[in-house]
Amino acid sequence: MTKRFLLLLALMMPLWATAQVLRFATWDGSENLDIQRRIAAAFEQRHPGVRVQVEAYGGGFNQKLSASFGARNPPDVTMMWNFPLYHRVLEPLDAWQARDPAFDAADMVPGLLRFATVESRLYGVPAGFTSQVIYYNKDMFDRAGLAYPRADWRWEDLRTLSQKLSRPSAKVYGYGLDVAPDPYDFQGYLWSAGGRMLGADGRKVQGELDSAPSQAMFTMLLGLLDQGLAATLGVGDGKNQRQLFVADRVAMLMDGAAFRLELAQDGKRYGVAPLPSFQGRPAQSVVSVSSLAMARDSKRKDLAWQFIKFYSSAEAVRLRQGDLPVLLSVARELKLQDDPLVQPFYAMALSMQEVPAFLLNPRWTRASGVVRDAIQEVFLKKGDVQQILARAALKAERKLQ
Amino acid sequence: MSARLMEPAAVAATPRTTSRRRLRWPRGLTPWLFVAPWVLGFAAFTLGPLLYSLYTSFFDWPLMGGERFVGLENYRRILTTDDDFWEALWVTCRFAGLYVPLHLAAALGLALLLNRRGWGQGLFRTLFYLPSMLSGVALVTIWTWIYSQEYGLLNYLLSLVGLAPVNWLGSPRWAMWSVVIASLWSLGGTMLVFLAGLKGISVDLYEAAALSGVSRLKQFTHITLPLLSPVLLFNLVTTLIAAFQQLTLALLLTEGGPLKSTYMLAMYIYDTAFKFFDMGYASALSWLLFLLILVLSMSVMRFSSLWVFYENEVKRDGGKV
Repeated sequence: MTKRFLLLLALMMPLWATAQVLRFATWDGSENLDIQRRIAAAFEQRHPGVRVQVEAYGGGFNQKLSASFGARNPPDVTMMWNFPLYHRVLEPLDAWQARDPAFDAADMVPGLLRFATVESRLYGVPAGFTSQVIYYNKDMFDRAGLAYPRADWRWEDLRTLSQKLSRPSAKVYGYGLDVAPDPYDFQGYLWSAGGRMLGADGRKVQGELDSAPSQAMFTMLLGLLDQGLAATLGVGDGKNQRQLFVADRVAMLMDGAAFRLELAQDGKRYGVAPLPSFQGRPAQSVVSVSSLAMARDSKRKDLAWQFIKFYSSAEAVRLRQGDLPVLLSVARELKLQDDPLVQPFYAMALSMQEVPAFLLNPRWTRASGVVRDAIQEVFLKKGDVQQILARAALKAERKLQ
Repeated sequence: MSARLMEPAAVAATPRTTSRRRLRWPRGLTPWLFVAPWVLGFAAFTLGPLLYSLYTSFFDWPLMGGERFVGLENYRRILTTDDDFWEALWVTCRFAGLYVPLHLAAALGLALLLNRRGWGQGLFRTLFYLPSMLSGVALVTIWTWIYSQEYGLLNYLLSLVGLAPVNWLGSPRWAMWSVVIASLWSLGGTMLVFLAGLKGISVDLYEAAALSGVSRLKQFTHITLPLLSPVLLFNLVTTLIAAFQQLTLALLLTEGGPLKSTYMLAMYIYDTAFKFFDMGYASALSWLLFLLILVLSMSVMRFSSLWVFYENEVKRDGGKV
């Protein structure tokens, strides 16, 4: 038996030796990683003699990826979102895209390609995206005899609903507010109020983060917490806000598309609505885009481009479940824009008029930490909103210099 | 085959061969050969990166993109304009101020208990040491449950005596204490060193003191503590170093929050290197942390002569103590 096994192994060796290995790094784990592997397997089937080595960096993605670039041993293809930070070590894809007639940029959801564009050069191809919407717990709404949120609702409506849904003594709340959020996601709140974190010039934080519209949004959210209408999420026990939603402790919260998978697994009854409008202004959400990029130091650039192209093809996009299809043709084919559980994501994605701060200044990651601290300070210390924001704006601006 | 049965030529050749071997292999080299694997490993994986980080600290070195020599600019920026550094340093000092005395007191207390003759000493020694063998991540998982505001063991115990639940990890007031208490769990190593020190103190001294009617407390302060002071010094220095390097628990338990109340220097270095990819600045921060620990350790050693007592110490009057 052992001899046969060794013989088989020996016969297979040349196959392994001759296979072209394409390294692909991803941040996905668990179910999403299985999907990546299925996409890689489908690519291998179409390219005999090619083996895709899926490298799952998980939570340490940035550390491992940056170390691999620093050591000049990067994966050929990598998932990527922070192009301003990494673009110097990535291969520009404009030329590859231009000479490949199979690549149809017009089929992409509008606005996604700009996330992979730095200084007018394209460095990545979007593979999936999500925007932020409000998830509402249908069981809690039904028990309270309340109508579900409509597409044209306002923050005043959310407050009224929260008053009817909240029972602070039983630790049940209408809205769940993440008080230690990724500042990136929090931008949606400010944009909806007419505020920003960073000016369009990519330098000015003072007068933006602490502007009157930004202050108004912070004050309104703080009011929800003070009146016991919103749960404090993101710190201590509230770290797993999704569990609180599933456990009927929070009736509404803002989240991206990945939450749908968890809710489906739990068999939870839920609905989604666009973000509410604030003081008559149309709501805006951030969009998070997962793209594929090619390492400048890759030795298999042709193969890497084939893989990137395949990854954003209809066949591969259909396989992805953690986010939304980037191709309009796939969305139409799956009738996603008629699906009430998906349509608000597309509506919010198309609503984005502002440019996220990290695309405006490559040093934003440093300033972002200051903004995160300010958000926590407003909601946890509950000090003077104007003072906290003004101090943070000054400090964040210094970090950008 | 014995030499007696050998051919004369072969017998004659044997000593020459041995002598040649001795010439080829100097005796002094053998110990170096034994320590060589460690020395090579230390040079490649500790000393090398250490010196390289010193070199890096003089550069503006984004991990992606070219490096630029800036001399002492990173150090100047840290010391003169970086508020985050001073805030993180203050939090680290607060942590060390709470952790070091509590850690030493708890480890010494347990060692004293284990030093008493009684049933199950071996069992308790193992039980107390066990948490030290857990990885930091496992420790964090356990403590996250213990600290849970609604379902946690700690709040359950508080409720038994009628106290309100505490938001251990979510409140800036309690988060530091939560990290300190969780850190205390890994005191097994310190405890064992204390225990070894206690075992080294002669029982005769206690018997003589007891016969003279000296109380237990006085025996502890006049016999145990002085004779244990060299061990205490060792544990103090190692615990101080560990406190200033604390990263895992703060990173995983509280992520440095809330409101940066547990954001320590090691975490700031980690963020600078692996979130902001500013390797030169992170290296400079690391070297400043190293210098800080060095100065603190040397100060402790310098002033140890005031309170550390060695058995073979000779007093100035010439009498052996």
